[in-house]
Amino acid sequence: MSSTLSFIAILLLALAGTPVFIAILAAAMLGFYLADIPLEAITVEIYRIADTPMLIALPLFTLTGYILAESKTSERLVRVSQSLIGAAPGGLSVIAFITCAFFTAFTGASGVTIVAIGALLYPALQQVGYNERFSLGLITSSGSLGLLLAPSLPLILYGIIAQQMNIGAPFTIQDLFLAGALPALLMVVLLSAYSLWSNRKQPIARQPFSIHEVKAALWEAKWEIPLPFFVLFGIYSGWFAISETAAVATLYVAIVEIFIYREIPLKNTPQLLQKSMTMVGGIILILAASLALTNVLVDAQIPNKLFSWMQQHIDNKITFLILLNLFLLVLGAFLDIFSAIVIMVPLILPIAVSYGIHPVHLGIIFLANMQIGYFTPPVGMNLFIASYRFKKPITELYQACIPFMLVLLFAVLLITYIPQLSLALL
Amino acid sequence: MFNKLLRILHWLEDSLLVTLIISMLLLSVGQIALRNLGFSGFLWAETANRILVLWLAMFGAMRASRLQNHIAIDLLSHYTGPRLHRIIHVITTLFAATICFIAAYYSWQFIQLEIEDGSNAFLKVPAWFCEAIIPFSLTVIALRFLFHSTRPPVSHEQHA
Repeated sequence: MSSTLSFIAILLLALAGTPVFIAILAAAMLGFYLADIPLEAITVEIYRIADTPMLIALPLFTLTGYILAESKTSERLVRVSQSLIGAAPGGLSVIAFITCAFFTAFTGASGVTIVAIGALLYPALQQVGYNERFSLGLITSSGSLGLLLAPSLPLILYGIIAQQMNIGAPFTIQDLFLAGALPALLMVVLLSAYSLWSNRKQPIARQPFSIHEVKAALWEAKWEIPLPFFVLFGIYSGWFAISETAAVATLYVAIVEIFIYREIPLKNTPQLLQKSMTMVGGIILILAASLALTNVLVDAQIPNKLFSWMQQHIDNKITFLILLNLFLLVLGAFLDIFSAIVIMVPLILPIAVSYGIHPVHLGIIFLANMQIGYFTPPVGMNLFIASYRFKKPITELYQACIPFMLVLLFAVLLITYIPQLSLALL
Repeated sequence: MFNKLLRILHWLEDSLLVTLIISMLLLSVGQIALRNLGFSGFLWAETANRILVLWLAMFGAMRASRLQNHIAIDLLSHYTGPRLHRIIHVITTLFAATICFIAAYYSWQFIQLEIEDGSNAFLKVPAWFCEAIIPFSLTVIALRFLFHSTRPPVSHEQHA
């Protein structure tokens, strides 16, 4: 009884703003104590960070993202896509979706997409004739688009955790990256269709197509264009391990942005490195604490108990998936994506697998829901970032995002109930 | 005097963090280069690199505590007044400090066992040394939470 109260107290402290890693660590330590396991075991659990080869990719890809976000990559990315598809109907909104997706895949959905790409496109969208509310909603809801694309950090993190649990069909991180491609494409297509439809009566100016502009834009970005191709090649060819791909990509991006484009002064790089590694430290510490907590939960047979309880109440896969979607949407609005993954995947994965859901499919469902959570009122993180960046009241953002949210919800339903979308390419 | 010492320590900490990530990057790229030049690469490099991740993470986490930049569920601060916010802040940071102190204490115990055991992680580097970063950083983080409990909370908007 008193142990239940202690766990509730920890939960309340977490909701009150205790750092997430502290709350998880406290729960794990309490669990060890209750199971009569010496608390020295905490060190062994944290040390498992050094036994996870995949994890090397995390700091490296994070650094790549920070470097890209710090330089003018976003401007060149927008210019290239504008020159290529700016002439098509709905061009600029499609550009916004594609560039946001690319940028988020590399930088992680840390809100930087809204600041770097959104700040460029928000005035541009209004300039060509989209109204303010539409532009605001588009930018805010696109801030997390691209989570499902390689080499996004949440995908890697999901892979690390799911692989450690070793439940269900075996898979590789490469499989996860492949699985995200079609669902991400579906989201971009649906969002683009919605943009065209909702602005059908709006006079939207198009940029005339110019082969000169295409050439100039491509030439300006010539050092960065190889990057996504290299990363995809590195991941899928098997020539490099993922951590090696990350290392080469990081070194390349650092050389290009610091020494060729010279957009990051050399004297600022230590600060950039510190900033990015502070974020990495925060995430890995949460991961470490949750590895310990997962052991506690498994030892106490919590996933089994949860599963047999659910089986009494939920007898089919469809009902389970509906509940899963609802749960994840709420979760995504309250919890940051990294904490949500490390805490919930160990609990949900065993249950999902016994309902016959493929671990890779679960990963895509999980992240697709989280993606919407980023701008779910009232506390989705990107709402606050957009409100802060564009100086708009938060309530205005709620309204602006709702139509985009509905479109993406529809996409998530398709992704959830048509497993082939995620699994066809494997 | 004390402030100056603190500044030097922070500078040292930041410099070590930068050194760690650069070492990791160069070690990874170096391994690939060696392999492609037909050499087998160093067997120990893979282990060393994984331990670097741990050190990097703990140093990053220490810095995050210094800046009050840890990931937290920032639900209440949008709705509570400044006074209540401050009280909650004191409670949560003191709780965090306590948890870290306890974890650090038991980690030191574990390290002592490892010193007696005397095994090596890679090359001639003892395992206890690689693991010692855990109690060390937990202690530093605990002290920082203790310090922050006396300071006003930092909001997420300020970080963004």
